[in-house]
Amino acid sequence: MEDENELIRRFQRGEERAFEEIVAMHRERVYGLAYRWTGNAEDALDLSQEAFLRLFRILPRWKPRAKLSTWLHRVVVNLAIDLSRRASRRRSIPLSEIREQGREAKMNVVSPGPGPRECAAGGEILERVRAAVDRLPERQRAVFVLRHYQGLSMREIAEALRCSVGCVKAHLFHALRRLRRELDPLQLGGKM
Amino acid sequence: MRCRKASREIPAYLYGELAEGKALSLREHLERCSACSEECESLRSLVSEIKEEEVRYPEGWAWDRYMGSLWARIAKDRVRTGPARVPRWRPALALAGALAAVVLAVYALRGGWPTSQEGKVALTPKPSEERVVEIAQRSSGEEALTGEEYMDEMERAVDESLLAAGLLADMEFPEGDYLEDFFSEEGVPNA
Repeated sequence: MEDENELIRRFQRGEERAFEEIVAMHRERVYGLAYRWTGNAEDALDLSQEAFLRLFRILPRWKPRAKLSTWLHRVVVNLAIDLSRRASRRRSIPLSEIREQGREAKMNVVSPGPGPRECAAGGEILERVRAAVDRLPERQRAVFVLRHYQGLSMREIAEALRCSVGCVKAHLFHALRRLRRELDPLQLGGKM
Repeated sequence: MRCRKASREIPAYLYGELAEGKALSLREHLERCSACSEECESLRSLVSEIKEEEVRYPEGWAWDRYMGSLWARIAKDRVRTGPARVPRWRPALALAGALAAVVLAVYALRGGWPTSQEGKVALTPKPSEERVVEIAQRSSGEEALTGEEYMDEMERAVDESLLAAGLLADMEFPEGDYLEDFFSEEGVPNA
């Protein structure tokens, strides 16, 4: 496959078809990240296309200092966080319900949901894992998804999220501890 | 290595990203510290058990459709934002620069800012009040100027005041359709 920088140069010379090759090069990773964040194909398509649209806008001025994949990961994470925030704003929860949830959380660290027996089916366990990942704070969630599912190195994650490697390590550690706390009662035993 | 540092390095160790030297000192610490060792083992089993969720990727022709709808989205975005890919402030900056050049040229040619009798800056001379009243009377009186004629008269009055202030050269245009010498039928300047 042609070198990424050469494709960018071709695009900058006015050859817009080179953009299709760039998209083909990155689409699975970008779509995959969007899918893992949103959990559905429709939002993943929308989000990944929005990321490529932004790439199309910026490509004429692109300087080969950073890797396209790093930039795309950052854009997808930011778009996904925006989407999650918009979705949570739309979901208006009455104050009494929030108070009740807080009381339950104090009494039981594990969030309410089906117990281990109910989660015997693998699909349900996957759902619980997804829900636990969804509940992680934004930065922890981003670091966990990029490392665990996308396979990025900690240095690449630090570049994508514009923070230090130490910060990535700390977020990942807290994310893992939190996931363990939430998923322990499921007695995973290789079912996830 | 202390516990605090060890716990920070555990995730990198579990994902195989810890440099050999650091990994060695972490292993030594884990052998000595049962709390960190337990922590490490429980996180190791978590990492190994959270399997990758299957992603439903578009297949074959669906990627073509994906690219097609991406092009459509790009086209729509171009209509919304305009075809120019230069930053929006650039044309405005160029226009401001050109205007500044004109103002400076006027300043240089006249040896100072053009001023009215009261000594105020008068870069945009207005037609005299008598002239405006005259045009208004002609418009509402017997002549009953149309809107277009009224605007022509006002423009002429403005030109007169610019000429009087020395800001407009009294140009004479050649006879005939002289623009044909400069522009082709399509309106493109001739070489």
